[in-house]
Amino acid sequence: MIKTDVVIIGGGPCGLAAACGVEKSGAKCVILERDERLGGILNQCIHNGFGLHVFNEELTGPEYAHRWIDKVNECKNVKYYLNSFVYMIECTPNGYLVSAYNDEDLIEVEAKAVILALGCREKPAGSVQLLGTRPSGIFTAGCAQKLINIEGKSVGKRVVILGSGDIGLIMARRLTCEGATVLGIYEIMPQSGGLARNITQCVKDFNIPLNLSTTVTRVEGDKRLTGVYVAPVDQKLQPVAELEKFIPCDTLLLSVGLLPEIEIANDFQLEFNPTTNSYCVDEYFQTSKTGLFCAGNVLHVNDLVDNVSREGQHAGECAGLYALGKLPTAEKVEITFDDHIKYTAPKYIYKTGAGEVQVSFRVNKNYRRTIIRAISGGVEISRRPAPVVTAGEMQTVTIDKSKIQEDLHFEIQVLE
Amino acid sequence: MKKLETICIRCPIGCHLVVTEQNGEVVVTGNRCPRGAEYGKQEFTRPMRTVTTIYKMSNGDTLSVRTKGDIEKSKYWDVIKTIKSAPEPKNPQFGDVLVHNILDSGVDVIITAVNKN
Repeated sequence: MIKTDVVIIGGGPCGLAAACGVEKSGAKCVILERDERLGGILNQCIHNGFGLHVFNEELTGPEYAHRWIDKVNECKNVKYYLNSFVYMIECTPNGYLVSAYNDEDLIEVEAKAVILALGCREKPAGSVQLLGTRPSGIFTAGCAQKLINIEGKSVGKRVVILGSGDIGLIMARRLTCEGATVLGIYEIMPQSGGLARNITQCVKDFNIPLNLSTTVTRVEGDKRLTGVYVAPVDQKLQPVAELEKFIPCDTLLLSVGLLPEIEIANDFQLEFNPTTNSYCVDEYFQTSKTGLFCAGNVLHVNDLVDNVSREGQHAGECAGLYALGKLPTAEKVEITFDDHIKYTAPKYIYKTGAGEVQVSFRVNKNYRRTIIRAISGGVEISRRPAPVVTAGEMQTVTIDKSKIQEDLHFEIQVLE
Repeated sequence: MKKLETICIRCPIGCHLVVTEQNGEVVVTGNRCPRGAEYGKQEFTRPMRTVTTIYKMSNGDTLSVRTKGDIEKSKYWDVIKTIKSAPEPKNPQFGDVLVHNILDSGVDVIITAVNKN
């Protein structure tokens, strides 16, 4: 059995930064990574656009991962195990026991703290209503990304994409560059779920049709997909049957959302947030169980890997301090918010008095000309005009903790 | 008057830019930072893009590659074709140059990852 201060589950952007955070705190840690290398999904994200905030330059996914792997390799008190799939977390008198399969062996690591840095999974075909047969040729966008970018395979020639999340948009460009024809992207909502810049550089640059308020209703094919039916949707998002049409194609990519991979901690019955499909955390990224931390995309799906790294690093520092018995605790304040806001992360802040805390949140729909306000004890303690806030963009506000009274409330004042 | 409306791709905010030419001078509005002004001017006069793709090795490995700087958007496909047909490197490593000065653009194509298969 290995003994350490902190176990980090996952060696992607969150886990790597978390390890650096633990190192900074002076504690020791072990990363358990199920893949054969560190970096996580970044390895298959060969496009540029990562690292503008953390490194002040635009890097590709593998390069961004490389930077963090270098940092981790410089750490004196970080060890990592590859090909190690964690299957259980248990409580022990000393903290936690994390068990993993490593090739043919089992690894057991005992630590005072655990950081969940597992990222998220793509919603599979089963999560959308697709009538018809079940031929080959239907992939999630990220799965196709791995097959094409890492394994050098082709997934198909004539492709339809359902959903317009960022991975779907990026894959539209990748497939086109690899010689496939992307016949269209179909999005059930009236707006794309992806970043505006990806619509420009991945879709418009390549003249790929982006069809909003339209969805794929049925698939057809015996062994291989031979086509899909698409139809516009009404205001209740129900397909209009009379307008359904057939599109011959051999491949359907799904980019319909992500789900935090939280199952490993199910048995602890942690405080859960149905909005994020994940756990609630305090400002240390600690769940409702002390010593069990959760950050990055397993906590909530971020738009930017830079934010994932920031969260991971902070969670790592806090978990390290916790393991060393140095993490300050104080009276908890629950963050409340108005109905423009869907959730905040963290949910709780400690009245430790000094320092700053960053609070991230998402709004329920797009607004123009707004003011983002934070109020405590009836006094406005933070105010930021935001010309545009969109549902697809995470907002982050930095709060001066010395100004926090008995409560902390966030609101969006919409002027237009 | 020439006018271009576009979304800035320099960062994830995605500012809505309006670019016009007034008395011979290119004017950008809607940007929130100097990078946006620069991007708007460039998109108006000579659109540029970073190209990222993969290179397949004969042993089944793949190399992730990117242009080290932006290249002219009009040459996007030629750049892709040139990368795909480049001579196979021996023992490629992270950071190595796969194609020097691609299409005389002054930009190198570098290896961003080596994926063993």
